[in-house]
Amino acid sequence: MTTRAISPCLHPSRMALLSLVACLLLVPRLGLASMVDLYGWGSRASALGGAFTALADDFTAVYYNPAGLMYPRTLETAFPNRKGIQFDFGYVYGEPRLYVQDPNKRRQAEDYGSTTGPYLGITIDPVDFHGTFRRKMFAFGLGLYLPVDHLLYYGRYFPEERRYPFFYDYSMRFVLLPGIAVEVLPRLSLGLGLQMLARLHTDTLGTVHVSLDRLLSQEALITGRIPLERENVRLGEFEDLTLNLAPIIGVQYRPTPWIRFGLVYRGENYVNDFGLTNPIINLGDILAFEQGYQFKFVRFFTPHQVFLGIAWLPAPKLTVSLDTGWLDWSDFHDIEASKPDPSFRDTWMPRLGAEYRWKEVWFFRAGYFYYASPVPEQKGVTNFLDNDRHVFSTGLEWIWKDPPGFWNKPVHLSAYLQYHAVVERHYSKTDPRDPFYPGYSFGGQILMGGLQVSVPL
Amino acid sequence: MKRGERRPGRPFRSKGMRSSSFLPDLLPCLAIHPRALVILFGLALAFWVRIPESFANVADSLGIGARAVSMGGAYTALADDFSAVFYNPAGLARSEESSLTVGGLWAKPWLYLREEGLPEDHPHLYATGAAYLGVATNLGHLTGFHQLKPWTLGVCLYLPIERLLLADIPNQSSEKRFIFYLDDTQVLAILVGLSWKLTGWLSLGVSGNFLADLRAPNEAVADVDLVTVLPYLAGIADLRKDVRPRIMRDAELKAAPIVGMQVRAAEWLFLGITYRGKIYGETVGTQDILLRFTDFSGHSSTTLQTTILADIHYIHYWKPHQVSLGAALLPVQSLRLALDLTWADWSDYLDPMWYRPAEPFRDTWTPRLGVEYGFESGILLRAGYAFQPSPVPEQTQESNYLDSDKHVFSAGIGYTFSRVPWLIVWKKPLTVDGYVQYIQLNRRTYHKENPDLYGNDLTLGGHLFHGGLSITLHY
Repeated sequence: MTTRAISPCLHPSRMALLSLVACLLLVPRLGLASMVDLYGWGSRASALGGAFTALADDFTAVYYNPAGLMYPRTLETAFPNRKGIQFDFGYVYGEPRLYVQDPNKRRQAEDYGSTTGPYLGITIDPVDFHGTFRRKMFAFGLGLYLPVDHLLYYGRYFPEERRYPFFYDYSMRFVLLPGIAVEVLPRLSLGLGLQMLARLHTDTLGTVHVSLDRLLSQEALITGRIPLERENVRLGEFEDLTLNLAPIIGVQYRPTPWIRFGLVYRGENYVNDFGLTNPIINLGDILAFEQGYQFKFVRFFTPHQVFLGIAWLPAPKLTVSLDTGWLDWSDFHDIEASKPDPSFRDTWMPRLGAEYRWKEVWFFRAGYFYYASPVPEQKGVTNFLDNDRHVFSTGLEWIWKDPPGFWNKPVHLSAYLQYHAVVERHYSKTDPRDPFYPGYSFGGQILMGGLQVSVPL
Repeated sequence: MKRGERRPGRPFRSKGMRSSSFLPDLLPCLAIHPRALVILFGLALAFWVRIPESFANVADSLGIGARAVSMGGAYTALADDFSAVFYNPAGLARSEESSLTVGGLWAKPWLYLREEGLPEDHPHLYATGAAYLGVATNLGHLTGFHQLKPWTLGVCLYLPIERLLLADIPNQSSEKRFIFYLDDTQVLAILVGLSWKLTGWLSLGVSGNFLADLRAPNEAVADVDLVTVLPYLAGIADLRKDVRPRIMRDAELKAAPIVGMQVRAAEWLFLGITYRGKIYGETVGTQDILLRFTDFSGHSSTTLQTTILADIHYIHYWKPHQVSLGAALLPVQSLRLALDLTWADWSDYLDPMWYRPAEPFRDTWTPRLGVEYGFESGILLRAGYAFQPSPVPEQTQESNYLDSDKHVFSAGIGYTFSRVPWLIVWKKPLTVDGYVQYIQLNRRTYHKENPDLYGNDLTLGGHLFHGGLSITLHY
């Protein structure tokens, strides 16, 4: 690790940046949950069980701890004409296999589809802006995940329905996270990442005309359906999509070459979808009435969370990291924008990871984290399905130091696997009129994996 | 870079150009690289065969990039900065370095509508405040691999300040609306392009206009019980119920192509051609309404129920297939003249409600002219003009699409600082560009065939002001 002289005083621009960070800390905004929140991001961080708050040093720092952008992972693989930019290309695939079992019945598989898509990471090594600052004290990063098939997808379900709210559509949205880090003191950096998301306002107004002939037609009376022709549907629409930003703020401190500390805060975030639908339904020019309703949905809720991490490098080849995080699930809003009854409970999440370097070019990794479900037992009308999970992960990386062709810079190839053991759980219903009385059990497993190519320039 | 030196990435700079005339230069290259034309037409054909459709963006409506806008959009042959991703992706390859542009713009239409017998109306039209980010980076310069020098990547991100997207769809075509000034500039735009410099005189480029379509089916229930309906009809009660609609939102990414070619025919002559695919955004969904006719008591016992299945299909930001031809002349080192002619296939137009207008729109030809002059001091002055004929025919019947021919005047100024002493965070060359644009909508009258059926005659007109400022960092 490079040692640097401590600056005697803070430069005004540094003060301004610190003030900005402080302001953002005080004003958390709304954003969105994602595949990254569910499974993690990046080959190395995922293989280490997400215990990356103190260790974050690649593009995934924009999520795990933006302060880590300040200390890019160079692995001492020096090569000529290093540009200080790294590109990471990856692909993930995950398959939840979940079930629900009613008493005296066979297990019923719940199909939540797969999570699959490519991602791109870009990191820019610390810069001093052409010598403007005394040392290289600013670094930048960007992460982009694009799910296959959808840029963003979500559907409204009713809380009474029996669903896994965190698997239904959580991973079906793009993730775009830019980040910046500044080294305020030698070995101490601050970072800011921004989760970008939108808030959708939709108003639908107009007239739906149903003629008496169609209303009383055989089709309507027998099938109960009246498909309308285009000329009878006169609905206009107003759509207004605005941007929401949610902050990720982190600190990383590396007092010695063998120990690192990290602290990160991620703001509460969810998508807010609201509006007014008010078609005038004209029934054969006899009765015309407004169907009008207002709606407001909350989706992809992710709570305020704080993670504290420590990484220990007892030997040059070995790294061990440990994270623990607190998640403010008691503030959870369900899809109807209301707090469920009973409320969710705050949770703690431990994460553990280890990495061993072998023969300079090989890395072997393993990790574990425990996800404690915030969902209390659903004895009443709601049926949020969620279980505790033990998540085991492993991965490896190989540095291709001398690739063929004109590419004379090293290439890193890495892969990881993640297994979620979903602990079976039972909900007992108290009301005999409940359609799910006397209760049911549910559980399953999730397999996740990914490949990544990292190209430092 | 010192004052008065030519700015990087611009045609003023003749670095790398050979001084041969057009024909001696062209013919040997054609003989050596016949694949060039084959690849170009292959690219064009591949996109033409199955043209994806996507959102239009601000570049279509107002133009993007200070230099391009201030030269009236006559940029097909001249494009050499990030805005080439829209005007002509082939132009990206003209830059052998990298640049980052950050800009802002503001635009506001002031339009009027006079209906015979009524006072003049000034419809509410949104002002546009937006920021944009442009990057043009030579891959050889970026990576350090000289093998990648012929390739240049360009990115343009346009972000309206207040929103990511605004769509305002009427429920009938008879609504009087200035169709091109409602929401066209109120949508996020991302364009990414790649250019390949095949020879010293020929470059090809392709870019994609990325955005999303939305699928949004809705289901809801409407209870029609007479206990509620009768007071509602009497105006003493609200029929609205505690409706719990079921919805789904599915945004899918798609891209529309822009394919271009630029030729340096001679030291003093640049030619360009660009094809832009038909682009529009869609919202597709349903409004399925379950009608429940309940008994007179108003209790929950349902006596009859039926579902109305209403499909919705909206079109946003329609822009047609376009082909632009451009020429740029450099008669002397300090002067540049540019001329563009753009054909737009407006006869294919679909209105926001997914209908082809009863009186179809007309294809248009838009001439554009731009001039740039560089002073010894390094200051660049620019001016431009375009005439945009309206594709909208006279609205003599029910529909009321409001538009008229437009004269577009623009002017701009630019200056490259080799180094800004007081700017502590940037020590390399930096360019500042500014521009203003004035669009005059000609006064036009729609004479209605039958005032009893279609309303009175309409007269419309007005103007739009647009201005912007950008800073480009060269690195």
